[in-house]
Amino acid sequence: MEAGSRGDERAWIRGAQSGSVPDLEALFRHHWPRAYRAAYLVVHDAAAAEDIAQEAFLAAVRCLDRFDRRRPFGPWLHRIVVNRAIDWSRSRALRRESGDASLAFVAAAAGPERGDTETLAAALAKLSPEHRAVIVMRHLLDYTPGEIADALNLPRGTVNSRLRRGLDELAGRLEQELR
Amino acid sequence: MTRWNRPTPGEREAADRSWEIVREAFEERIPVPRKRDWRPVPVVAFGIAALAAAFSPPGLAVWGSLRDAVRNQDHLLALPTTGRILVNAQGGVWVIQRDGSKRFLSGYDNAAWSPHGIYLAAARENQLVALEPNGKVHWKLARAGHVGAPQWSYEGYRIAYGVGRALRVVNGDGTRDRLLAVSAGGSGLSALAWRPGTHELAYNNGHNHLVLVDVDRRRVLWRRSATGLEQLLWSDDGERLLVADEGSRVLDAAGRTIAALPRRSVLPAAFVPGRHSVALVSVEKGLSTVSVYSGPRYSRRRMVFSGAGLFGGLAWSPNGHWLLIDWRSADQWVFLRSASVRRIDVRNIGNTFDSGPEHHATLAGWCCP
Repeated sequence: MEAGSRGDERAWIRGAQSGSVPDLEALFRHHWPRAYRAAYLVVHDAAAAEDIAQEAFLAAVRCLDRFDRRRPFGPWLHRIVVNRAIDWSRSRALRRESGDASLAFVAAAAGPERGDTETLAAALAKLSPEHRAVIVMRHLLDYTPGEIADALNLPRGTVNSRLRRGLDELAGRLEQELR
Repeated sequence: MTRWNRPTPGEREAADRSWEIVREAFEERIPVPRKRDWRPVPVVAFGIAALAAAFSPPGLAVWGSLRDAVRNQDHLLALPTTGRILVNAQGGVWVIQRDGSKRFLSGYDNAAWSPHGIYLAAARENQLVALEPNGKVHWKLARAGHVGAPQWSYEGYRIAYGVGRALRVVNGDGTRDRLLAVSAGGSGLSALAWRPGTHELAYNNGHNHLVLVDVDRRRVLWRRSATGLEQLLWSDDGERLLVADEGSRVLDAAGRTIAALPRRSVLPAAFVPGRHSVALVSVEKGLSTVSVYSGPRYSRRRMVFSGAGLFGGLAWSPNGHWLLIDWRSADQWVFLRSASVRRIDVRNIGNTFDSGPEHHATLAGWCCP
């Protein structure tokens, strides 16, 4: 959903701050897909992605009254989502328990062009959470390396090197997947 | 790589579910005037502070804010945040899902969550049983005596449990069951706790000693005297151990006392997830109070809730945002937000879990992110 200019967004936030549920819903529906996809592509677990995206929106609701309408909402939300997704992935990797199922990739509903998407997601799942996060932010959410550095609290050089290494590794994984 | 424009699995259904929760949170929120500091408001021993100030005009304003912040429910409709709650009740165990749905697992007792809430370990007469929250049994282990108080190690590879007065350990997959101590316990085998990140188990050895044992190497790491030990709790990082015996104290991982907490602080208690702060209940003159102690020497005390009668259990939500208080005397569960005034009271807890006044349902954990 690409509709929704900055002007619309400011109006939704203003409306929500004054208690309008329809305005909050417009804001939610506009930002949910990218927030959820970003979480999903980092954690590769639908339930966790739902919780992470949902918690980010709940955080937004809690801070709504103090939110500065001049600032764009998306980057603020995505910062929360991606940082929580990285934390979740790290914690999952550290605390895998006996008999715990691996992070299974849950296939999307069948579609004629789904193969490439699945392959890409499967290859992405094999990268480290840190590499996944920068690739998702750069190529799914369209942030610049500078914006990613700001959101993840990293030096810009680190973001660039993670992007380069992550994409190299992704290319290698994709080759393996397609072989 | 091109931009990902396809829906990911579960995206649309998750949006609908999440919108309902976000909308509910939005409708319940207290609109905060810009730049106003609300921190004084939540520091509330709810009954005491409000009563003291109730008859002054400012007091009436505070009452209004609090009243607006409290939501009453006659039944448990849903959990306010992520996770699942386990309740040991008469005749079995209840598993409560985030959406409020409840499943009864009949015939089990003393259930405990595995570290990620994928399994439960529970006692069934003389058997230790590992099962899923949907009731699917993975394995059983029959012992000669009554089985009690199973607890999982941090990653689920070990389970400590009692058989009569003995303390045993079995692997998470039901193999390699072995005796750890012939006589453990004292006032109860619930006084055992795995140190997170290790296979070190703290327990009462039955001779008025608290011991920390490396279970895999069968080596005692340290031993401290402890009389009337009732509960042991580790902080998430395994660096602090709360010992509830005749007094309450906090030890470091080497068994050195960091702080002695007020003597009247009694069960139940719960470390704040991911922190060294601890919530404790104290009882004085028929009034129970939950306070959170923090700071390097636990000298900072923040009172968060008071009520007449007894509190039966405390549980933090996995994300640490909510504290659940089992207000047994009022037959209520009280969900308190840890950082604001928001509060949800759920009545009819005894009826919800088919427990009468003689058979209280016991909170056994709020799991997992």
